[in-house]
Amino acid sequence: MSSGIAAMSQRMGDRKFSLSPINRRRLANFVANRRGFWSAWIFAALFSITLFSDLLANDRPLFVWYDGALFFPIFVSYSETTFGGDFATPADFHDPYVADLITAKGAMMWPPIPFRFDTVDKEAGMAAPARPSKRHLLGTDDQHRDVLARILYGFRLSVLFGVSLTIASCFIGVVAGAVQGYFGGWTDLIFQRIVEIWHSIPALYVLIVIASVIKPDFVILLLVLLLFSWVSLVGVVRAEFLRGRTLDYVLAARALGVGHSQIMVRHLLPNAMVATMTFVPFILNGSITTLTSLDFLGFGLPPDYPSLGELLRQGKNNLSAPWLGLSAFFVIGLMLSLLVFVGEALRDAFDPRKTMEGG
Amino acid sequence: MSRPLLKVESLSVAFNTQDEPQTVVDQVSFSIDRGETLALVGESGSGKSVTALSVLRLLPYPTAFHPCGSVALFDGEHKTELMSCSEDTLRSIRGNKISMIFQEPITSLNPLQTVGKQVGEVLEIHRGIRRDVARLRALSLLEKVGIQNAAERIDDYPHQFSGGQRQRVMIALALANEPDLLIADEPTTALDVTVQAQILSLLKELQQEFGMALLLITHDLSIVRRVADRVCVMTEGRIVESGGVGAIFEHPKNSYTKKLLSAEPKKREVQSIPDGSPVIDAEGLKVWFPIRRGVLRRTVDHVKAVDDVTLSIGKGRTLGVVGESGSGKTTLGRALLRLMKSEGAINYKGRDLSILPERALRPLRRDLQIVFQDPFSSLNPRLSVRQIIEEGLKVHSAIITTGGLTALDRRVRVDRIIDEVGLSREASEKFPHEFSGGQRQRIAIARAMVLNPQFVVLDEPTSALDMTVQTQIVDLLLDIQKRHQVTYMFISHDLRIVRALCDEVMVMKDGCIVERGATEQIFTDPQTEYTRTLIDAALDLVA
Repeated sequence: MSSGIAAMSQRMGDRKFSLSPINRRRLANFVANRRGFWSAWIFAALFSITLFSDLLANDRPLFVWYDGALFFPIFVSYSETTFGGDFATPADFHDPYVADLITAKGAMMWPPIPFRFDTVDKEAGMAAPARPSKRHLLGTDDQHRDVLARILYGFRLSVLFGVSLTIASCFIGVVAGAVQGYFGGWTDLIFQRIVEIWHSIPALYVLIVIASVIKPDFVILLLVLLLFSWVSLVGVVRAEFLRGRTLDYVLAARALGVGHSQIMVRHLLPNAMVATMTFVPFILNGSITTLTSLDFLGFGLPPDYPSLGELLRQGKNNLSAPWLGLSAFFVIGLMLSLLVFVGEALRDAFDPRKTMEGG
Repeated sequence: MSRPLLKVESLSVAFNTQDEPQTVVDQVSFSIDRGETLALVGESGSGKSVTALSVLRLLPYPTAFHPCGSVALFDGEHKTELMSCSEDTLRSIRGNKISMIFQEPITSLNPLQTVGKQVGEVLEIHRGIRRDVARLRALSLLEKVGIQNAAERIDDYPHQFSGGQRQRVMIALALANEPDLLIADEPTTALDVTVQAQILSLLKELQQEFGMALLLITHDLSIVRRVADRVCVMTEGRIVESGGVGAIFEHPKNSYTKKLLSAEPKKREVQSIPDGSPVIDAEGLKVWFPIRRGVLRRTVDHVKAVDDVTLSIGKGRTLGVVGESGSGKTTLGRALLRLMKSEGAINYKGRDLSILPERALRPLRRDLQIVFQDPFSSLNPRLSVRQIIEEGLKVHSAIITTGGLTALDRRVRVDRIIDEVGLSREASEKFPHEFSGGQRQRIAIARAMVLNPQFVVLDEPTSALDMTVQTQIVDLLLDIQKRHQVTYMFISHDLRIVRALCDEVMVMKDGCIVERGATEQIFTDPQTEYTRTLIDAALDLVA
């Protein structure tokens, strides 16, 4: 029995290994593109770091040692009374009164940046926006909020927004393109015309109109942008399916009696995925840019979100505080460049001419 | 003549791969005299095309390289070493002293320029003559290669010509500068038999007229026998035997040559099954594609791919469908299986397939299978062999046994069919690209046969394969038929195989049936002119 399992896993192992001579070639091509390869790692590292923004930049201590017990204020909200205060309101650990209470009977461990993106530092001691100092490495914005903290959270928010939008629009785009390409004929003709009309609507203006009617939040903005962004993939996927549906092995599958959806998923989708994969980094890039520009114009996320676009706008409004604009510019520039480099490397890696010739 | 025209000495070609250089041509030596025809014969992958391409250094360098060897072109006393000469010298030789024609004429011609312009351009470049003179010269060349109404057709584009005419244009291009040597790489493989014969005699005639040497690369022994003076047999990058045509064909010495020569399909023993009740029949089958014109896209006419075909095939028998390309054979096969829209009744087991909706048709698909011509495109490269063969079993599992097949049942059935088609069981976890053409065709056959179908359309299942492999596949198909009483419709342009395999033959032309009858009767006593030319062309090549 165990030998059977061993044989089975051996076989699985073999298969996994032999599954992808072409994928191995692609991986090798990707790795060979040093710029793209390192960009991918740097981007992954930056994104992983910002995922833990709550632990890196927070206005509550990581943990509190008080009266012989451990507290985790980041995860649990404690009232002032827990630490012997007067009010049942949530404890403000920056308040010297509360801090004194705790240090008297224990200790606090602060994150590297003791501010959240929305913490207003009342003790900055300078007029807002405050220039970079030991207390605020990149200074504060016009409401005395720490710029570094806002960048950390803003980076995470931008990427998460971009990724959600990209995944959603890829899904819709692939399904729509697949249906059009596979069935062809009238389905294709009518759908294509609809897509063309839809595509010619100036999305930004529609967004501005919508933003003036309802107050957008993360989800609403995502849905509204999705309305227009799914179109970008339809063309490529449709072309792949249109080409693929007359392939001999697709015909063979039809002769076997395989259903339409099964044929599309099993036999045609993998072909279209190559084209899709090539586009993903660029769509991601576009999504982030759109969000940033909307925020910059003031039609994007509401002010209580940590957004890079908003920081950019502050930089524009406070030219005397160059740290605002410069920080935002360098972060956005770095993020988008890294993504473009990754995208180029991916595109080259999937290029059939390169994978075939092994060049 | 003491000096040969071209002398190739211990030429090797290797390709850089990821791991280590792979030698595909190994120490090949041969020479061609003026006016002589030398044939390089071998199966696919034997290195014959690579050898020919390296004569003009047309390989994808630097991926390809020559570890050793020399190719010398002699012009009287003057000797040019093609392996080491400059790119400029080489360019003056290409298309001038040495020309080439390829297998696929459509990909060798520029689709955006008229044929007259393309032929004229060669003259302008190499001879430096004026455009209007070049045009006149192009016209006479086109006439010479047998383009009818050349004066009217000189301004046509390549797509307006048929395959054979395109190959003629290619020949005109190659001959424009009256080369000393013409390299023809499988010049007739993509063409119909009748056209093949014409092109070959044209090449022969022109060779005599221009006194040029011909290096012919082919896998088809019948062409060699007909055209060549001397033969070099190649396998695995080496020339294993060479000599005069007569000597090689009469007294082959090398074991590989013998195998190649004996690979022509054997005649089948007479079928004992009488013409039983028909398994499938069709009445007045039509596949018409509308031609639409004008702003309103009104249908002005139809392309009649299949026009009013009536047929019926008895159980366990084989119907051969022959005809030139474009005669509607493949369309007929696909329409019968309803892989294409058609009009007219198709009866299978008392049910009219043509009016069944797709959903109701699906269970019946188990009985009606198809094997395609190209085993490279008919297998999904992303699925393992087991997944490919298993797919049909999964779809029809509920019909095959009540309650459906378990994973184990499917496994057993796939293993059984893998044995039956002569593949090893280890093969089942591999992927299509790891197999040769013949093995891939076995996989495709296994995929169709695992469902125990009643009727299988074989759409040129052997055309893309080498001669020795063709015979094996034909034997396999016969074997399966004998064991399971399957009914075949065998579509082919290769009359030799049709003769070996089929009980009855149907000859198609322009979508219509021009003649039908028992195989021997058709071959020995054809009733129509068209059938006669078809058979003559095919047998003429054999004889």
